[in-house]
Amino acid sequence: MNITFTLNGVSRSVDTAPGESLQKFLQRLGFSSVRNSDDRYGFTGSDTILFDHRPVNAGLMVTGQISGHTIDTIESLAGAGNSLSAVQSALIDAGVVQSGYNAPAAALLLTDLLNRIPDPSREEIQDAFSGLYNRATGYQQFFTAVEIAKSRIIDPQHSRKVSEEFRPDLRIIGKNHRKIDGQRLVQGERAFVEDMVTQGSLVLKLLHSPHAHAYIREIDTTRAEQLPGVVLVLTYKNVPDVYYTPAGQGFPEPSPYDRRMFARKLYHIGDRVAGVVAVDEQTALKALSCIDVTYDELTPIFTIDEAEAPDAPIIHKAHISYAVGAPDTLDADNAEADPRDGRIEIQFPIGADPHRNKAASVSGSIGDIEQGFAQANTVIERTYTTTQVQCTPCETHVVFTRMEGGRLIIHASTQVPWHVRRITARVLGISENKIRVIKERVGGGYGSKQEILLEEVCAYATWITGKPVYFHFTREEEYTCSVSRFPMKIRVKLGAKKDGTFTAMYMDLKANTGPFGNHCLTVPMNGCSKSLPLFLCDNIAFDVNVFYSNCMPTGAYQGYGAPKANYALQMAVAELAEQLQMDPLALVEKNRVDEGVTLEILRCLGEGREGSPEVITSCGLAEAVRQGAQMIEWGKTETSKNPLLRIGKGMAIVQQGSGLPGLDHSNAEVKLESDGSVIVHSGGADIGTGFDTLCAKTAAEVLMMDTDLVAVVTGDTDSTPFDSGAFASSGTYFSGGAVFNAAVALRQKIITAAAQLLGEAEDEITITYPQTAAGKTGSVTFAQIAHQSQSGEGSGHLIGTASFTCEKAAFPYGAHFAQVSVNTESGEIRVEKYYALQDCGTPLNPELAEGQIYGGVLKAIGHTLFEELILDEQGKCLTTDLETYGIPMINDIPDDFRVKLIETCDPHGPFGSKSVSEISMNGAAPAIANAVHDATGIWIRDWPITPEKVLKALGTY
Amino acid sequence: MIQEFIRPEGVQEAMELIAEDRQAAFFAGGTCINHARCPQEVSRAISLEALGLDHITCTDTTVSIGATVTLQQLIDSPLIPRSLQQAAAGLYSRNVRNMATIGGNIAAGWKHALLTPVLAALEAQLLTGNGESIPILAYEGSSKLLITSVVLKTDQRYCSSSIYRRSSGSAPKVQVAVSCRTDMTDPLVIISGLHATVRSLKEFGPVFTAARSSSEPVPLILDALGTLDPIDEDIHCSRDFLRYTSARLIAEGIRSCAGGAR
Ligand SMILES: Cc1cc2nc3c(=O)[nH]c(=O)nc-3n(C[C@H](O)[C@H](O)[C@H](O)COP(=O)(O)OP(=O)(O)OC[C@H]3O[C@@H](n4cnc5c(N)ncnc54)[C@H](O)[C@@H]3O)c2cc1C
Ligand code: FES
Repeated sequence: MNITFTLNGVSRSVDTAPGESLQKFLQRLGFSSVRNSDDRYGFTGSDTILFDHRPVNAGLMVTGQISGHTIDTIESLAGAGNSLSAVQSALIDAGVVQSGYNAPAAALLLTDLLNRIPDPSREEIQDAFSGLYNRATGYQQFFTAVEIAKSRIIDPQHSRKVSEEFRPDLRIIGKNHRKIDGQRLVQGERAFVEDMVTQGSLVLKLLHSPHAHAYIREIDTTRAEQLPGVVLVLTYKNVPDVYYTPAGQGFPEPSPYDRRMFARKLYHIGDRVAGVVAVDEQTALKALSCIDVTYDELTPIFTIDEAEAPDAPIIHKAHISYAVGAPDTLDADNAEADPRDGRIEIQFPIGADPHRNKAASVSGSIGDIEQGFAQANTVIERTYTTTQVQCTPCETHVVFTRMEGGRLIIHASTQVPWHVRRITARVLGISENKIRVIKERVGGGYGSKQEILLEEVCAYATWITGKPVYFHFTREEEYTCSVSRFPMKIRVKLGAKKDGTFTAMYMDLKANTGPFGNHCLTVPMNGCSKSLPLFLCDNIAFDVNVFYSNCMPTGAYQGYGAPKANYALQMAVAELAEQLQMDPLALVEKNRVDEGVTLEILRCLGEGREGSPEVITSCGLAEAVRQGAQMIEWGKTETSKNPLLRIGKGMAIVQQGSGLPGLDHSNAEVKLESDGSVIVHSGGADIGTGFDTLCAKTAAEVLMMDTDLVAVVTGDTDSTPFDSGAFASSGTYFSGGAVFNAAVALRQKIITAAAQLLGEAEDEITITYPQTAAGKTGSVTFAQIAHQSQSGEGSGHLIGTASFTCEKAAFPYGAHFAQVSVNTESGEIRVEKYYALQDCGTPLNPELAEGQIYGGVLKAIGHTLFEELILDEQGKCLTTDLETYGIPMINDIPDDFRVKLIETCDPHGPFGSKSVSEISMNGAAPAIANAVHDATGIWIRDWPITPEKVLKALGTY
Repeated sequence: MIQEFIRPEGVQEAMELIAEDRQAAFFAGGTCINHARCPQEVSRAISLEALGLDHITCTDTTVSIGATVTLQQLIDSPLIPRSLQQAAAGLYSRNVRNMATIGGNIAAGWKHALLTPVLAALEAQLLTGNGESIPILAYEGSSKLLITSVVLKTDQRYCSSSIYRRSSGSAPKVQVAVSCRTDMTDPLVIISGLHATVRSLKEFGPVFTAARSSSEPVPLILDALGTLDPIDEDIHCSRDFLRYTSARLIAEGIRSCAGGAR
């Protein structure tokens, strides 16, 4: 069928099948920014276009509809010389554009809004963005973007500071600064993995297990292999017999190697049965239906209680081995192994006992816990549970692999390029120099892209076929094959004297790791290590036990273990305050940590290595609590005119780390080019959070230049040096620390070269703006120095190279305050106010830091109130689309939502900085639960806090 | 998969085209036909675009809404009763509201039907391709009978529409419309979400009257809901909660009607 339509102002006549998806059609025409992230559910708005000047979802349309109509994509907004429109620049300046997968859609929606209503109200803004999913930054900054855009439409020069600025002694650091990749993202340039796929690439699709726990009795792939267009079928019979962990963690990993690319045993519904590589998606899907499989079903288990029952079915009856530290019972254990269960290779003792479903366990204590409770006047003991929730990035997991000159190139959407390379090399049995991983822009990861979930299969397919292969999870696969937060059951026991002084704290944390043990030690331990050290107490103990089950796989998610354990601990503190008849904030204030104190408990909370006590070198808690209490008018009783509404306030203090001291490691180099500009090479991975911008700002600050003279290359295993990856809040502290050190190293080389040129002593030389080395007798520009160094007589290319390792922890802190209204008739909770006060040391990118915090808080509001993976009795996930799952959208944000950055200066981080993003997940659940109690007197100890639970607790029906 | 996309220019032609082919379907906004969850096998799309059904017109006492008027047009038009606009706004995404049509919404017959309860409460009549006028609840989606417009009498009833959903973007769990004559007689209560099809509460008059004057109307209404078939199971909430929530929304609707809501 030939259709004629107008595309971005130009009449087009194109041949197409009338039933082709308009989204796919537009991508085929080269408009890559019309993206799919929900497979025709009409939910995310990634596929927004203007159709006859109104925003619609191209994924819900077919090409037959467009004949005679007008379509505008993001390209229609391009100004002269590829300049940004007022709306596009406003979105970047407001800090909205972070992972950026939906940034073009946001720009189209805002353009439409301001065309219709030049000065829109809050409701009109919310309505305009009602169909747009934005996981990274939590929507609040859209309101700022509207303010900027509407002024900039009238006055193109309009600019404003959207965030408070810090460090007046520095030129760039701590100041508002346009994100350096913002333009390409908001213009819809080719930037993501899917944009790199070449025509004619093969497609990989998986056959998923229909059973939660089963063996493959027989599998026959003959019919599939005979289908025209099928290139390769992978099953457990023809893949390398290598075990590994999907967790991209430092090596040797604390996670057991309990996964094989394809295995004979199936551990969850959705597990990999087979993979088909074919010429296109349709053929691959057809081939999957031609694979004949019979299964021997086993009894599945899904919960912690089921897994620890004495007669529970065993999930991994595998042969177990230890690289070091095997227990004496190992041989006896292995006598029970079933060869069909394969192997588990444990790197070092993690308290595992797989044949009793135990994936990991650890205990620790300081002081004398029993004596501590004996000294208490009041003791409370409560159990809290949390459900399984998911990262749900806009861009689902995706990889594209191809060969180049005999080497394997992996275009990845990953937080851990170096671990992708290491694990893939090991699985394929090839050396690391044969693999290049290129991290493309990442459309959201939030922990889930710290896992190697599809890279190794796709890489293997390319390696053995020699062909380019594309593998992209559907939204449903994102729910059933990706990772999610560990469900937990946490018992907290607290003892205090009459005046509120804590005498003992105990946490018994049980976690459900699901089918595999990725992060099974570290996530639950992190729960203890990022909650218990918020309080000072001489007697602290914890027990952590982690169980295998057949629920959906778990893994890393922003905040790691902390959101759950902190929910339990901070609620328990508020419950203790009620018993003591104390104000909960006063009880927190009486017992919380502060700068200068030593955290003895960290002696036994090493998270994968030997722990040691740590001194808190900077802590903004006092200021965060003080300002937050003032902002929310703590202590003032609020009432509503509506007699059904009860209003309450709650708070929680939060902490995280900044990378893993002694484990993480980053490297960078900064090169001086011949005209005096510089290029930063860092192994760090920008996952949308603004790390590349941080690199540019850091180099420009240290070298006294403007950021547009700094180019940044990151996350490419060929052209950048090693970095352990973007997880555990390490980006700013570790990766940023390496860039800072490298810039300082280059500055020193410039000083040395300038001293020689000027004939002065090095200590006479200072670096001044712009790019100048000044001595007493004169000055030379960086361009002159670079030119000289690269000449025949020169010292060689000036390159500053450095690494960053650190034994010292830098803990970010914060205080979160919530005000909620609870409708006692409907059970509905409205978050009226939410204030997140966050100490991240020196805020380096303030507006991006604020965006991260808004995003983190909204994700946490999501798991507190709405989000939940629900399985049926067979273990099938019933919430495999964003709508059913309960993702918060712009209309779910708090009515009054504010972030306040509390400045401290940490002695170890670059420019005094600490981490910022993960920590913001840790406050919403306890702050809201405590506010619900303040409003109604009920304690809801299992998230999500649904209207039904509220009504039940109130005894309404 | 749509193989053919046809744009008839008259109602008669559209009716003939649909009669020819079992796998043909009327195609309005396409948000349902193209939706991932759409179970229909459609090979021939009969587009309603060129039929001129995209207008809202009114007389002193009626509003006539063309079948291809979008949900966003309903919200933007000053001619449309507030209760219907509220129901249309229940489709949370403006993008989708720009595409989805009133005719498509009625015909799609989703379990969580957004517009049907309020349209039924307003005693809407559907004009069909064969020139008949039928009450909205008599329309069967599977009939493939073309809806050309929806006609409402605007001055005869108070009406209110309300919804319960878990989060702003999640599908409605219960949608309730309550209406009565302006003299507070002849109440209608229509509910979607609890069963596969929309339900109308029978003989609700006495409960309506009692609930109106009661300070605790919810228990009274809960009793009346006992006459409904067992509620479908839901993955997020219990049947008891859904029944209670329906009663609460009905009570809210009665309050609004008593306050003169349209
Ligand atoms: C994100 C999302 C959320 C949704 N939520 C809801 C919801 O909560 N409640 C709900 O009810 N729906 C919901 N829908 C479903 C659906 O999109 C709407 O019901 C929409 O109004 C259908 O209108 P349409 O014009 O797009 O219909 P189409 O997709 O064009 O058609 C739908 C059906 O109606 C038939 N049809 C269309 N017009 C006519 C006509 N004039 N006469 C006879 N038959 C006709 C078609 O043949 C087809 O069978 C949702 C859709 C999306 C994408
Ligand atoms: S692209 Fe950033 S939130 Fe989705």
